[in-house]
Amino acid sequence: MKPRSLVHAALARPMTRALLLVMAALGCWYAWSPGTSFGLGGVLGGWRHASVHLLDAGLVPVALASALMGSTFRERRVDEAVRMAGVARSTLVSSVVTAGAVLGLIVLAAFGAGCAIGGMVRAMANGGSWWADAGAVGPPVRALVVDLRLALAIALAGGLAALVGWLAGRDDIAAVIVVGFTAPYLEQGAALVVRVPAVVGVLSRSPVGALRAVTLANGGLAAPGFERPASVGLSALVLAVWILLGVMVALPRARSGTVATRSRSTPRRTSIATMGGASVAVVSLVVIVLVASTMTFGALASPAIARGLPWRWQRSWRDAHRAGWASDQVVDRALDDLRAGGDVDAALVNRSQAISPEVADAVRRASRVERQPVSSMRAPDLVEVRLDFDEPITSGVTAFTVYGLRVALVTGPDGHWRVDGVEGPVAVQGHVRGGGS
Amino acid sequence: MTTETTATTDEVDTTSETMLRVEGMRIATRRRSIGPFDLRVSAGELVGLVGPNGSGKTTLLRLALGLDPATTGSSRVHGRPVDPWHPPHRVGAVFEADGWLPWLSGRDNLTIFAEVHGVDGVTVDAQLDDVGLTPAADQAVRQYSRGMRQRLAIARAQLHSPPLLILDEPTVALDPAATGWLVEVLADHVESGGAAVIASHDDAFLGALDARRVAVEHGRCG
Repeated sequence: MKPRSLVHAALARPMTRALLLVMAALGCWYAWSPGTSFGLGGVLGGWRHASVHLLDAGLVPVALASALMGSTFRERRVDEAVRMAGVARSTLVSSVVTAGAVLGLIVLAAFGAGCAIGGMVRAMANGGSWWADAGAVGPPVRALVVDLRLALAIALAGGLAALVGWLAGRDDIAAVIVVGFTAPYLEQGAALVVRVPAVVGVLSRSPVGALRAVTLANGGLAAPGFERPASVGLSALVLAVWILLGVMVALPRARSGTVATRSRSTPRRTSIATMGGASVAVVSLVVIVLVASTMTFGALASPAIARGLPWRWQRSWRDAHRAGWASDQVVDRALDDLRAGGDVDAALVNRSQAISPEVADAVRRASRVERQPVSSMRAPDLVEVRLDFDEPITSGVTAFTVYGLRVALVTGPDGHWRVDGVEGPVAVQGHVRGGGS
Repeated sequence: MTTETTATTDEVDTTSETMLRVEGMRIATRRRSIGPFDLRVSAGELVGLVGPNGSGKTTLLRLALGLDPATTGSSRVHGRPVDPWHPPHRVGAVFEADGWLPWLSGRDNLTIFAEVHGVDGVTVDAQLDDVGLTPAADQAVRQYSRGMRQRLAIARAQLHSPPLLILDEPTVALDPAATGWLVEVLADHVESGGAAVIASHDDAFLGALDARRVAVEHGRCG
């Protein structure tokens, strides 16, 4: 059975069309959100800004569409009708997985179209800007590498979801499973589950967690602490094991008591023979290529390719983090030095006047100091710090309780980040004495 | 002539005209065991499986086609062993279960199977015409009545002109005219050298077909 037939049938389904619309709306929403950096007329900029959300909010519609495609063929007993037409089960599963991957890419295309529309509208709303922002778009080849990486991840997610749907065998069960697997990876979902350490451990090694970890080269969850760059080797191994488990469950070897193996006239077959060699080979090849490609871009990216990746995926950032000299780590150490009452270690600053006495004084006097998580940093060279004061600082009739600092950093030839300057402290939150905030 | 017969395990499959050969097939679960079944169907033969509800007629057909794994025994279709990993070829089947994507039209559903069989759209239209569904060909299957779905299933079974037909309660929900048409179709099929196995409670239908009857009771052919 051709995957094309499965995809056509799935695309004609009202539920799939609804999911495509949802995905387009999601793309539009994310590209239209504040802080968007725009490229050509907003189209490319919108995509660049929003595409990373394919691996959180976008995963839910992708997985749903593909899983429902896989499950419905068994729920409606279409698989039996196809098998009676002479199609081997292994061939059918292979077609379902391939069709799931293709359907995932189609859903991705819907998201991309939404991003383009949202980015364009925002660019026009911001004054009809039609410029090409080289910084946002980047060199075409490097940008394409990032897109290819995302596309591979989505194809893999679609294929896996189709396999899960196939195994579930019912639409409702398939939907519950894939939503249950993907919802914790929403930014909002991660904020909740991260409070339960036991759940976090499981989620970071689940199929979706491993897929995210391999693709984003981080801890897998969209939560503080899990978005720092990490080695993808173990996650890739976990992902490969999940894929193999799925294939083994979908294509189990014939049980020893089945007709083929007990028949006097039929010799005992090996498991690979009972699965249908050619089809299994195709399935295995597709899986290996998908995993290997993703692993290659995630784990073995050359410096030239790495420079085209988002900053948190770049090797330079991961190396700096491993060495303890990433911008967030340097800011943490500088704050610790100030809070201890001393001066900042000279090795942490790029120039002697980088931290003014006013800043040092504010940090020392603050009741609590909180550095922004890496996940919310827009760039590696700017880290925001929040200073909370239990005793409000008064200015006229206003009492301020929260101040903010913006720490600018630069890298040296050794790849280490150092503080180059600090803006602030700037009052962030306060209230009029005797009145409202 | 209609005859009551019992399939036996002693028959030797020596003729190449044997289209279906079931030997000692049994499916056992913790709760119950069904079988062993033995059945041989030759070219030009119409076999009617008769028996009360739950006697194992559908189970026998599913085992014979490799839709369910058997605990013991074997099935051969056109001389080739069949099991869940080796589906039968050149077989058309109608089961009570649907097997349709309800949001697609009857034509689109058949087209999926036509692609599997390597059959063109003209044949699809011809089959739809044969079963009287041309006016409803572009309607979504979810809008079909049960009888229309049954006719569509018969069209699917005949799509690639298979020599062996396996039909499970084919007359369910069919009106008398459609049942008469099915009798003619099956008679032509047998005349042209084909064979069919039909599980049915419709005694008049089996009588009209002059089918060899095999009683299935308590989970075995007897």
